[in-house]
Amino acid sequence: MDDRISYLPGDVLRVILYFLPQKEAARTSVLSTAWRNLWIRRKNLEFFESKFKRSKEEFRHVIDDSLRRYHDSAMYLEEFTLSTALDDETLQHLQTFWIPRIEQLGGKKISLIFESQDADMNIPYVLFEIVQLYSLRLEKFTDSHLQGLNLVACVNLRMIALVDVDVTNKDLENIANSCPLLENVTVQHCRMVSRLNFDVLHHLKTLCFENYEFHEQQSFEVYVWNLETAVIGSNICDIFKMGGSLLHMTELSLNHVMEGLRNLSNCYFPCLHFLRITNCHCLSGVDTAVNAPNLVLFEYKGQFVPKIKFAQIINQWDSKIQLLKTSSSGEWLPKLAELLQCLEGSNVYLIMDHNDIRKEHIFERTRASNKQVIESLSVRCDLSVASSLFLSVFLVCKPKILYYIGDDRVTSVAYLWGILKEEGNIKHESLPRILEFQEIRELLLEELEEANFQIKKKWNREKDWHSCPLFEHLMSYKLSHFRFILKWKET
Amino acid sequence: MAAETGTPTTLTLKSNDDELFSVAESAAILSVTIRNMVEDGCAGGVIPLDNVDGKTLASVITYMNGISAIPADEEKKKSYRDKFLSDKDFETLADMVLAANYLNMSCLMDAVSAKIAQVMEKKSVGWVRRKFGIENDYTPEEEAAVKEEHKWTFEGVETDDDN
Repeated sequence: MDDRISYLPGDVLRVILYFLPQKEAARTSVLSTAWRNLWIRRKNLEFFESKFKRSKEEFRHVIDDSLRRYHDSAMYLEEFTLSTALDDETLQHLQTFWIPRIEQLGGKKISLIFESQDADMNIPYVLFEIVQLYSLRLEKFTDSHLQGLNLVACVNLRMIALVDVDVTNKDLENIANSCPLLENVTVQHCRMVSRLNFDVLHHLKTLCFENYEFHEQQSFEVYVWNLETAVIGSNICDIFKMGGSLLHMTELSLNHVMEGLRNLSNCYFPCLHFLRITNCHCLSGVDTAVNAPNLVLFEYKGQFVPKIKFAQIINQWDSKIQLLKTSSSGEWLPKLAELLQCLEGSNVYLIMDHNDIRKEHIFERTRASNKQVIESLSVRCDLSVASSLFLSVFLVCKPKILYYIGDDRVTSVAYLWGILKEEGNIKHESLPRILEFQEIRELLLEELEEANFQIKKKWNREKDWHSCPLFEHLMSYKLSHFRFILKWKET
Repeated sequence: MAAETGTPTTLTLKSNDDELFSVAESAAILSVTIRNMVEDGCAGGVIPLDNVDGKTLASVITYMNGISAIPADEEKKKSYRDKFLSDKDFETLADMVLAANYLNMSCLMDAVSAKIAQVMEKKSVGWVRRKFGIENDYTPEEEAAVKEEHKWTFEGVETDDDN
């Protein structure tokens, strides 16, 4: 076989090498003499300490050595990426040797990913003096001796992520005012931050601001009109207060928002694919309308059933509704019926997590005028309340697949087998007396055509679900998951 | 011009083995080389592409048409590229990467290069030599020295040895 690859033009080889991880690119030098120094033609250097098996000192030496090779061969270096647990020595080295050399080699995209090595390490403020800094991620810098950010020189910064870092409001303001090209900002679990003003960042495409655990009253302002992805976990979220069209937004996650979503209904999201709402108490009892014609997935998780409507959606869409202990709040069933009505046209996956609820009468007698067929219902609750809960839910929807986690697997299966498959009473001595058992049987007798028991091994894939006789399952139940496929009568 | 008359302009490309291909101008200008010729007004007749053979050019044109039919959706474009390259052997990939380089089509160049890199990734030195027909012209002493110099690159990497 002819050796074609070694004779590809240098411009082509450097692109191929560009797509190899650092270690593998450098290893090509062993292939043959032609490859001896080929790898330093790539325009990128990346060093991840987590992939390096030797000491920190040797890690630094490899970086030194690589940069020296580029320098000695007068190669052009465009991108430099370094990820490490930062200690003072490495920081010193970076500042004194690496950054000047990278800048000398033409480096335009410097990406630094640092976690603090020691608990008492201060925020490495000197990093903000690197003009060619392109992307910066800092994690776990929580020293209390704050000096604050005086100079921010990184005008080329496109991405910054601060996770568990003691930056101040003032620091963030400094960054926002000095880095006009920022496109991607993450501020997570930063306990000193109570105010974020990113109104000046007109290029902002991705924002992740999750800080709800620290301050009840936090405010944040961002320029929303170019946002593509927003993950917001803040008690107050005012960014939709203007209403209007968010033309670029494709992903929106709202987490623990307590205040400020009133004008969500006045927004238009023509490109939104994914909407996730988690524990947003401000939506409780409020009519919300979502105008997102290209929605693909809606995920909801919370302790109450939301009142949320969707304007016409063009394509097939899914909704995953996870209700946690909802039944402890009143009138949940009519609200659920209403929500399912609003989700008509969507493939609904309903999850009722009622673990630990021991109230006997959690069901309410609401019979929905039009029961919705849903893709699946997953229930987690005590056996003592299972009948109440199933009876309630079966009054408003018809799931195609039913999953149940009760007290333990054997009684869960026996119970479901009893209500879905076998006529008359179930006989299993470990079953407690079940209320409304007869009632649920009657309801199901009337409407259910067939129930098919299926199992799969825990570690198998979705496609491995298969039918199985009950006794066989009970022999090896610890290793498998089970479900029922339900076929409902045509009405 | 296309924009003025409302009918799409078609270009005729000629490979180095004299095959002729018609392609919509809007798709062909993915190649900066061709775009420059069109802008300089040299695209009136047949555009000769002296460094690309007919078989490769046909494939490149399939790609041009396929990718330009996808609206601005990076994910869909990426999955089209993955599918387009999935069944190509190294010989074909080498022809295509040379053509992409000559035609100055960065998106194809990157995709093919990434694909070739993927073949090399996580493979032992011996495997790569055999796969690509690279002759080891180091003396044993030299090879040992180069290995020593780069010994960190041999650690912690799981390589597929002989498949």
